[in-house]
Amino acid sequence: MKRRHFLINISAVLGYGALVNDVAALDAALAISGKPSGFLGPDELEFVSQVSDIIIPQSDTPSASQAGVPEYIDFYLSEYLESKARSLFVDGLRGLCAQSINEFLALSDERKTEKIKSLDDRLGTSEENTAYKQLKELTVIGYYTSQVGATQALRYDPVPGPYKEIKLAEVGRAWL
Amino acid sequence: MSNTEYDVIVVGSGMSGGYAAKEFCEKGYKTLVLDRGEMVKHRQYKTEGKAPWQMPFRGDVPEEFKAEQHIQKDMYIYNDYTRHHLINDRDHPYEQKKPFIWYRSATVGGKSLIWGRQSYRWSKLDFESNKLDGNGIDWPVRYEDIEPWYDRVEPFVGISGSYEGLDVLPDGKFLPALPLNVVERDMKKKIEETFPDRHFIPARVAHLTQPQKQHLELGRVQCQARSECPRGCSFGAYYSSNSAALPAAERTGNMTLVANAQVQEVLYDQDSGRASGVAYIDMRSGERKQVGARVVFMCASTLASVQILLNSKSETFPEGIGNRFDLLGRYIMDHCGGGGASGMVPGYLEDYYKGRRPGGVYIPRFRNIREKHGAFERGYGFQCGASRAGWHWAKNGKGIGKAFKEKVRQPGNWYFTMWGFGESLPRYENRVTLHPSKKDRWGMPILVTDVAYGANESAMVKDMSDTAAEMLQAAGLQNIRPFEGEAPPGGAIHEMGGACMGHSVETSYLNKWNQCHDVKNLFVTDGAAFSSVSCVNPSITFMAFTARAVDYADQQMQQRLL
Repeated sequence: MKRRHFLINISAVLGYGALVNDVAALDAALAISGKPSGFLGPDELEFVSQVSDIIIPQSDTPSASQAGVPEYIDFYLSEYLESKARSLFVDGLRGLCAQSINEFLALSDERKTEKIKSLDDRLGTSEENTAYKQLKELTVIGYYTSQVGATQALRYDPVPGPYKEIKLAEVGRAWL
Repeated sequence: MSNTEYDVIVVGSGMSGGYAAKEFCEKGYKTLVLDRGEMVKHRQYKTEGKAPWQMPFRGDVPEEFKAEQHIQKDMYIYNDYTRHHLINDRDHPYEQKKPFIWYRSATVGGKSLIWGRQSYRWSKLDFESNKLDGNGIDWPVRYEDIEPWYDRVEPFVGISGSYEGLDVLPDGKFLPALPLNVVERDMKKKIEETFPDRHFIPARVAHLTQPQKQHLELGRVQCQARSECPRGCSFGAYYSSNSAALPAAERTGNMTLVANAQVQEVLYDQDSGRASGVAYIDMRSGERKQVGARVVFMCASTLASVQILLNSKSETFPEGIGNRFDLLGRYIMDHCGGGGASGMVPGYLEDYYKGRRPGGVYIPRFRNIREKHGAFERGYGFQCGASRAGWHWAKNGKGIGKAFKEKVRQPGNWYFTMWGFGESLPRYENRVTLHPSKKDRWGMPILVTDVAYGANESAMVKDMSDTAAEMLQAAGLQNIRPFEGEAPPGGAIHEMGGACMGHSVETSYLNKWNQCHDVKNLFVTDGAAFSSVSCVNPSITFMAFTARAVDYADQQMQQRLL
């Protein structure tokens, strides 16, 4: 999808300029399934997928890639970020581990995890890697605001009914 | 000029305009409501009920849209779910001589669709302060004049609150209060013991905790604690013009509501000395239209009403209708804020909640009540609340792998935050004017703001920060962080003044009935009419004054005086 074209559609849906009253059209335009828009190449997508799964692996709930996080990130890059910010981010990704993406993909699982952990440990310090910081943020947002993340890892209650106090044990998880 | 097709024209359909329309229509007057915004009908809320994964960017807004809303994008509710309820700043420019943030609605229903919903009565002291300390102009009314109108408005709005018997924050007619949570109940004890003059009470909010017959008749039901309010609420559970006042006006058959109508001026008839109607632009076709009525009510929002009145020029009133003494546009105020504190509450880790409560705690004004503070006049209140940290820390927090996942899915510590809202002083020199040459797309002269806070507000904001921290200290919180922001005027979205009420035409624009001294059938009942700002949220007071002014206009019309 062409970014500008997409934004114009969304803008129409949300009531700028054109008025859209057709609920079906509205739902279709809003229910973005996060299909890969093909911005990231196959190796880059694989890289994002593996890194996001190191951050949020499969446990008793699905992993980041099982929740569609790589596709969401690809979509976000292609449709949300402006070209300058997009290039910066992708260049940052390519040099994330001081080696090429293909070299990273060839490492053992342990080595990959070590690399990511050392990047993660530097978050919030002066040695923070900007591209990793952004990737982690997108991974966390992409996962916990996905249907899988919100309803399985967290608890999602769109219509809670009147507010009431409960014991944490009754729900056992944080709300979205 | 057309003859009077309508009994009444109401300009604006928000907090004041919607209510004016309801009252006039229910009294049997043919009422034309003109609003600049897009039509938004109750229960046709485009983003209501959408989960984040049903939004293209999970609720985030791309830069292109922010560029069109470079002022609105900083509003606390601004996101992809709400941005279509806020104005396009490119189409609606204004000029700031000094920083002024002008948050504006883009829809019918105005800011009532997106307001914070905190609802407090003004106190006796609030109406006396101008006289007592000599700032601004003395209100021509006192609390006793407005009290019966609060009594009338509140049951219709539906306000949840607790009966506290405080002079500084009069009780109203309430639905059951929202409960304080376990953390807040313990904090209340500690804070009220340490500071006997400070009260820690449930926030009073315009949410239906127990809908009454008149709410149910309009299809308004119990608040579901979704916390999606600014998207619009099909339950009608919080008060908005869209969910309550406009449908009430609609069902009488007496209302004509026209959206996309930019009122540019109130028309003045030299012969009769009265307003004959208004001129507006159909924003879709660009066509200019004139329409007549016996009475005109200005409820376009504080600055917009002033802008229209300044632009209403005639031979008699070259500086704006009814503006013989250069008072129109003066005494612009907003609540000063940005002072407060937050802290971590140790313990309570087994306690949680279900639902997103629409209001927390209110600490009413305690400064300059019995003894003078010395550093500043008047006072401030705090809006506060305790809640547990959710998953958001994880965006920039450390951790990977299964242990990280485990940590994210557990709620974090309890935190308590206090935000101060202070009463800034009315100042003659704080004003808005029309730009001498610049106009918007529809030919309306743009507004120029020249408004700034002074030493009184700075001292007050500093004190907010100090007292917030000392209360959190007394309540045993940890990692207490006082803050002292520099929010420019407009930032509290409680702008008032510009067409103030007073005793005489030489000192004020309106009389005690919200009626223009010089033009008897012209009324202003939104925030523009206010001669001071109290420190409490103003919306229900706009409505109380509106109800009172409608009642007065009705009597005058019945006696053929209007």
